[in-house]
Amino acid sequence: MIFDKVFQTGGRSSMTVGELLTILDYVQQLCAAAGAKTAVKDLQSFSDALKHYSDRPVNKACAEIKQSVARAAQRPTKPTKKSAKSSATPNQDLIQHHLGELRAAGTNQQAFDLAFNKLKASKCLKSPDVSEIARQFSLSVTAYKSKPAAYSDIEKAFIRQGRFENKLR
Amino acid sequence: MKLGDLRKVLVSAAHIHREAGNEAAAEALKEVSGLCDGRESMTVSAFAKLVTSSRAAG
Repeated sequence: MIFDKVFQTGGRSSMTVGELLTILDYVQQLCAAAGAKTAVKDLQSFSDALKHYSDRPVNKACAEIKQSVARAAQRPTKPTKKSAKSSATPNQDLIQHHLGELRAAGTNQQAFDLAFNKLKASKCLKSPDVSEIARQFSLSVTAYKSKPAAYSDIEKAFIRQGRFENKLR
Repeated sequence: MKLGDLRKVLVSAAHIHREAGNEAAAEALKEVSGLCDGRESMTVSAFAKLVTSSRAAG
C-alpha cells in the first residue's frame, strides 16, 4: 500500500517541498508500521520545519535553509549566567589585603594564625581568590582544586619560611 | 534521533524511489538529506527548531 503511493509520484523532473512532504509522510507511515516511534516523531518535526517552504522547489528551499541556518550560527549568542560568572575577575583588593596581612606576619606564629583565620573566615573570597593568595604567598603556580588545598599550601609556605629563617641564624 | 540517522533514512528512501523509477522523488530526498551534512551529531528536534527560528529571524 505504502509502496504503491511511492510509485505513483514518478516521472517529474523537479519537485516542490509540498510534494516532498507527501513522500516524507509515506516514509513516516513506513516507520510507524515498523514500530520506530522515535523516527516517526522526528520525521514529523522535520516535516513541520519544512512546511514553511511548501511552495518552493526542493533545491531552492534547501539552499535557503542552509543559508539561514549558517546565518543563525554566526549570530553572537547572549552570554549565559554561568559564563558571566566564570569570566568575573578575582577580587584583587581583597586578595592584596589578605596577602599583605600574611606577609606582615613574617615568621610570627600568632600573627600568622590571626591573619590565616581571618582569611579562612572571609566569606567574600571564592575558591579562585584563595587559590591566587596561595599561589602568591607560596610562590607557586599550582592550580588548586579546592579552598582546603590552597589553605594547606599557605600553611606549608609559612612553615617553610620559618625553617629557612632558622637556618640562616 | 540524530541527523546522521535521519540522513540514513532519507538516503534509503531515495534509493527505494530510484529503484522504482521515481527519479524526481529520489533527487528531492537526496537534496533534503544534504541538510544533515556536517550536523550528524545534532538531534532532529534541535535542527527543526533551528530551521524554524532562523527563518523567523531571517
